[in-house]
Amino acid sequence: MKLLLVAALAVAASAADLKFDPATGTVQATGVSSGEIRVFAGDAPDVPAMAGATALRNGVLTFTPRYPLVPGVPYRASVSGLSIAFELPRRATEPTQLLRMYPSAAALPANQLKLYLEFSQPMSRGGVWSYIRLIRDDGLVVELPFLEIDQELWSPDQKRLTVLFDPGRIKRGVTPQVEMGEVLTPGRGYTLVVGREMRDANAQPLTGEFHRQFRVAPSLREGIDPKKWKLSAAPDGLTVEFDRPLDWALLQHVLSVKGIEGTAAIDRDETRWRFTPTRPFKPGHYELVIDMALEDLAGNRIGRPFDVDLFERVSERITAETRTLGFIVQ
Amino acid sequence: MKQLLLTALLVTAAFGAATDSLKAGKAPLKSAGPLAFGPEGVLFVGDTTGAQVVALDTGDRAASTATVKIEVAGVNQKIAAMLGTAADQILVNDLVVNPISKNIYISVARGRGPDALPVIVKVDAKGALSELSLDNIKNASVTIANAPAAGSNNRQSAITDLSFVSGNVIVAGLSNEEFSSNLRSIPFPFQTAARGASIEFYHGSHAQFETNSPVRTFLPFTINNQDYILAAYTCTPLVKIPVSSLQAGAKVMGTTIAELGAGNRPLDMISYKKDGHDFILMANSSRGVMKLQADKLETYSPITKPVPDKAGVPYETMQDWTGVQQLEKIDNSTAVVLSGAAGNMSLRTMLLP
Repeated sequence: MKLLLVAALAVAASAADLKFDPATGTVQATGVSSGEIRVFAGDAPDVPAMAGATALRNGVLTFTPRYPLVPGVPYRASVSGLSIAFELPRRATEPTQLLRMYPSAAALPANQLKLYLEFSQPMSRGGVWSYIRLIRDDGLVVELPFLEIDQELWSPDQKRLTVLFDPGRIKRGVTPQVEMGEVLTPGRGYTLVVGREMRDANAQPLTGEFHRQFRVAPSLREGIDPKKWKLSAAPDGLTVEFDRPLDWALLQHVLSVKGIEGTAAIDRDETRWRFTPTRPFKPGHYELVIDMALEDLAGNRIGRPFDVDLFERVSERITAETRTLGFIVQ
Repeated sequence: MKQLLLTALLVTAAFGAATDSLKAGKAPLKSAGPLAFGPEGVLFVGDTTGAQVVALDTGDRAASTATVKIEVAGVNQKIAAMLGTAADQILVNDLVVNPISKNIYISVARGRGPDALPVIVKVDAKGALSELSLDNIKNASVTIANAPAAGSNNRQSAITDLSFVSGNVIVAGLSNEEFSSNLRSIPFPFQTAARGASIEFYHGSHAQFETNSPVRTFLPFTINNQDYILAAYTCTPLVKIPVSSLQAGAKVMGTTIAELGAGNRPLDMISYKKDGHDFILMANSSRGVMKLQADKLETYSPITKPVPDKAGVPYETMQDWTGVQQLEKIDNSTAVVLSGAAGNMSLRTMLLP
């Protein structure tokens, strides 16, 4: 008993020590009973101390950061003449891959409205435009092809980025199009290049530079007409073949079969939608429900081309939000 | 004396009205975007992720009339260090000046991934940084009616700019409606937010009416004793909209009074008076900072026909104001400017030209 007490005293009297405890993410000072542990993040000069609080916990002066520490950021801590430097090792994460660009079709209309980039893991928001280039088949880097808006169009999980072509250079006869020319010229080939330096949510670069080539077809300036679609139904599912490729992201949620649960798949370069009901269709009448938000590659909607010349004010709203197409399962 | 007492009582009552509706607790912010100051140190924060506007009682009500002169080099690095991270792991979204105290408030995302945290940073007259605690602060929030669905592309533009005008928070952004460009006028203290008015205007350099292009930045401005919103859009038309027209569900035709050039995004706008004249200063993505002569805006003919490039209100480009990302007026002689590239941004005061 007496021996134990002596041992305890010896610990208390031992040299003061400051350490980072990775298990709790805190900085702990032993042998120091008061004072404020100050922690600084990063290498920049003359920065304020990191947000957090120092408190005595079980006799140990402990600094708890207000925000979780970030792997790869250097930290320095000090109290009562003691100082240490520490860093959390970067987590060994799988590097993020830019999986594909949509539309998948080899030829895009000259008035293509938007592109989607799909990544394997969440990406970092901010400054994406410096990594994305469009190069024509003669090597010309297209000047400002995209609408470089600050509110970058990321999906909530930040795995999909929407890239809008500058609408001022798609619409006919307007100043940007006349002055800077159209972005995409029919008959030519282009390559979308995304730099490897684009950062994922862990601030890590991509697996490699991304290249996707496509040809440019003439502009598409006709509204979508669902009557031109080919529907074929059987008890095990419905297949809808479109007369042109449709917008990949919208296709995920604008088509459904009224009152029937099931799963849907998109294939053939976004020209086909296949619906598999959870339980096989019974023979009878069914309805394919189409949300009016559906667009083709050029932003044309049902019964309404994107590039309407609005020299007159639009006074009528399109009130119907959905349209239906009937089909029969034998 | 009695009159004085009555005045004092009225002041107290008015003060109470502004902050009484706010309840202490954790602010329900999911993201911190556009900012605006309301009465008595109440800070409005636009939260696009949460599709709401949150009012925060900063408690910052000590009046200052002193001339503000600050220069904070590497302000993004300093904010990042305070938040325990690296400068490339934060995003600075907006800044405003508290008109009472002249302190600067900056909305920040700590992190750039989907789990980024909203933070409000305060910079005082000495350039010292501190964090506005969001854990226990008097707050109130109002949901944006008809915001674009979470996950849709337009959600990020649910709120593009905010301002406080005569007891109302004016919110610019997109709705989920057919003509989606929207200006909402939300009375404060908050009750419910109506669906707002759809805004349409003629874009001379695009030779068409536009209804789906969101206001990028706007400014309350008085023309001929009437309150207007001056709104700037991508490719830079400047459009005036009467505040009185912002009724729920209304479809409002704005009047285009300037085309300031294509291939450009307006970033921020302030107005000020100098030598008896009105001016507007506008920061832009690719056309620098423009100084517009803003006297008698009612005399400019509406632009209703295609224009080759620029038309309407004249401007000059300020050569000394480079790399400006954010712009805010402190008083009629001074502005605070956030400038520089993403790697190294500085916050400093500049004399208005």
